[in-house]
Amino acid sequence: MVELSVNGRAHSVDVPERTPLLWALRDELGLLAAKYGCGLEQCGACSVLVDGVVQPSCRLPVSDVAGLEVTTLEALREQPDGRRVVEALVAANAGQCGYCLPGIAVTLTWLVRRSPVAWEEALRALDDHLCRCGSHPRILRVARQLLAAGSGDPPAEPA
Amino acid sequence: MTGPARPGGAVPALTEDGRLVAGEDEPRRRVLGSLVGHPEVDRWVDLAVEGRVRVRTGKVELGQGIRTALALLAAEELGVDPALVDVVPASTDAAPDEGFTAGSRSVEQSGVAVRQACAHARRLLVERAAARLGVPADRLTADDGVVRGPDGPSVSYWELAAEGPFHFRVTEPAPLRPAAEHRYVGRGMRRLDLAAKISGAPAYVADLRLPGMRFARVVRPRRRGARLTSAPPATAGGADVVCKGSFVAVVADSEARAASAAAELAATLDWTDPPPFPAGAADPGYMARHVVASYPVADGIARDEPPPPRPAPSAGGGAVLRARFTKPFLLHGSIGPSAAVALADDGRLTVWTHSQGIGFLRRALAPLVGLAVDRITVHHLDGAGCYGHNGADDAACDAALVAVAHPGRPVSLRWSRDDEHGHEPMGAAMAIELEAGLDARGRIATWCQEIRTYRHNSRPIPQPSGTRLLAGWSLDPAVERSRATPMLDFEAGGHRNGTPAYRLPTSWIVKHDVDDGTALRTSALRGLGAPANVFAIESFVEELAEAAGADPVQFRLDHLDDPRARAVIEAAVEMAGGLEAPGGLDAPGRGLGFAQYEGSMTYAAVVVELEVDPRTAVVHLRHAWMAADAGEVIDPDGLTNQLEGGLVQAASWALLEQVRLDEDGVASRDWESYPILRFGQVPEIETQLLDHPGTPPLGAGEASCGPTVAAIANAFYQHTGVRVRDLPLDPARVRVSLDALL
Ligand code: FES
Ligand code: FES
Repeated sequence: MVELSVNGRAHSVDVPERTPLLWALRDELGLLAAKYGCGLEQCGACSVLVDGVVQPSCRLPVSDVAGLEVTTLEALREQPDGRRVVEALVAANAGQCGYCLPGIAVTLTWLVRRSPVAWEEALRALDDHLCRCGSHPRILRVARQLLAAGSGDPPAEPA
Repeated sequence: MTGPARPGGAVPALTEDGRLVAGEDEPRRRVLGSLVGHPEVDRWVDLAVEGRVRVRTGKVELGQGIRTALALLAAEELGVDPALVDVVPASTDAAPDEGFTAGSRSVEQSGVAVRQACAHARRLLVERAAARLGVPADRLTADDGVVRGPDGPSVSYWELAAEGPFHFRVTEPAPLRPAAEHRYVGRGMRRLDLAAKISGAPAYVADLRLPGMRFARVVRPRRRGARLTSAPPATAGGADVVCKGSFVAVVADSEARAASAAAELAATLDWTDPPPFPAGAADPGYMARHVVASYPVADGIARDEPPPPRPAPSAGGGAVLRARFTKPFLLHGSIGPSAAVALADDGRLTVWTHSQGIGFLRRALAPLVGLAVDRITVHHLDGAGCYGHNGADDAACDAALVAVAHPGRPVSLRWSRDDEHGHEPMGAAMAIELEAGLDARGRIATWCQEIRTYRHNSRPIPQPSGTRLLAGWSLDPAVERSRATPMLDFEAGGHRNGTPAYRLPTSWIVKHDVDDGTALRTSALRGLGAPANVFAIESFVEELAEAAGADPVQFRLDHLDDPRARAVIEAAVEMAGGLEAPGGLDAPGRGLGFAQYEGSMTYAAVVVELEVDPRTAVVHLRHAWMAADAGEVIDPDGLTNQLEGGLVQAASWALLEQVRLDEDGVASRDWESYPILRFGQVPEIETQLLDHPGTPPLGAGEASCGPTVAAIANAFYQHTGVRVRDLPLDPARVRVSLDALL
């Protein structure tokens, strides 16, 4: 049994300690917003917050997050900043297949919470996410809007 | 086993990549789309649910926004709010069989059909209202879900629909609403499916949860084509092992367990040592040695006859140039690996898949699972974007085999990242040799083009014998692999965009079909042969312009008669403010690329601005300006999204992508060894749509790809003075080019 705190609730999950958090979320808790993309910490599709910090969940052993607070998009989208991120992406049709977007929405919410952040830093965080559909231009536009609104200080256009 | 798979119902007259077969009913297909073959209005649209309109389509959502485009068209013709339209996911039980969703043909086929079916439905509703209200039909109007008479009396669509199905078969087109009256078409709307996807609601096949569900993974040999030497254990790592010949999978109660059991089992299995995989298969010399047939291409069609004699390049009396361009194998590289759910129960099989062709898949599955076609139902559910024929169908077959071995409980099977990179059918490598001669005035006089290409289509069309579904080749007895066939139709496969749009007094184009008979597998990837051909042609045209001492834009315009082609080129160049970037000697480079996709569809011109970091040899894209003419614009936002997505993906191909092969198969099996473009590498993009209301709406998913690759190569040349003719322009190659300058 591993004790997990996810989205503000305590859970005991009956999985081996080395089980990646992603599978505990999807298999045991039925939380499907975090997606499997690579299982290699290379694409960002599985991103969640661990104690408020964005992290890929696909290789993170559940035993490593015991005692820490895990937050998935299911909870973020119910909170004002997460909802704002999701709504801004939806309003901009900022996706094609959409598969990369739950992970990106987690990162954007994390950035909005920490804003003001330098645009370079925001780009570095987004660079942990792959999108194969080429939805980048729209996602970047939304990111700029969100971060400008969050800081009151519009980030510089990327070079 | 069943007999040769032959379904009930009409097989759509489509080519293997989902295009219309040029034939006697082609003019009718242009105005009726897929209603030809599926003429019943009731099959496409019904108003059975109060206040809602249900639209059925055989085309599937691939992330291109087809559901939204169809909802807009239905709403416009019927006269209802688009929010009231539900586009039902395709299923072999209910939807019209429209073959593959591919090649940007969805609007042309399904869109036209939905539009016509809804125009007829509106006409039929008005007729019913006329009878009911006692008012002549021509004095009634139908809008906002209500048919109204001139002075007051009205009746809702749903009251009229309650009289029963229309029972009407479309043979002639109905008049469509004139463009000037459009309220939804051309305006765009929020994508119907994106809110759920972005917010992380279950939306994909791999998110489907059914009672009693089990989870499966496939276990594969390291070397492609290896067979098991001894039977695996019945269980491994807490999972049941499924073994049929050399097809091995594990099935467990959770996805975590399936993944860990697959890894555990893989370490214990013994496999044969098949002949080495052709690691050098992308090498142009290797390709030239494995040409199995050569076809002359005339008017865009490859002909099964000996090529005519090659014209002398110097006939025009001016300079003669020669060059060879190559494109490596590419991956589709879906962000979500292929997945499927299958349930075998009571002699029936139900499959949920993100395949692009559920009707074909159903027929291809039947012999492999030993069921009659009519015992199988295939439902489409969305997957991650596929950009062509990826592992979707193979994963569905894998899931079906596991489900049949463990009937009674649904099985959710998912490929790993290693499976997807290592086993999806690759986009074909190509090598294009060009030779052209100018005349005394500096115009192109002769043009010779040889296209060497692996095949671009091994979609799982049911074959007279054998199968194209991956797992079939591992069964015992193995079902023979049915190899891809060369595509000869208009602008198909490797000769797609292999015919320049430019005026060429003498041209000689030959397609060489390459097949080495090995375990190599290639299939349709976004644009098929077009991106490589456009890269070659548009690079070479600039080389010729330079030889002629002409401006590259003017040189193109001097060889183009089609005003729509000229218009996109002029628009893109004007958006960029010319092909000279400001900044003097240190200025970034700019380059242009142009094509009309498939010689008959969307026109696109792209100007790219880039810089090269001499220290890292990394190419940085700064800006891209794009002008496109996709005929009548149905959904401008969706069109822009597709065009810009194609631009970004093509930029990724051009700068980074190349499958690495070794003696086992694909060696680049993750995102580090097969990198793709990241956020920080994406240029600022500006897009302009040149709308042509009243002309047929054209798909645009592939139109920007070739022009983008070409624009990057041309900009690199302008910036560095080095002409790169082999893709990608990754740091290793750029470094070699820059060193050559010293
Ligand atoms: S699935 Fe975790 S980073 Fe790709
Ligand atoms: S929208 Fe498809 S991967 Fe990003």
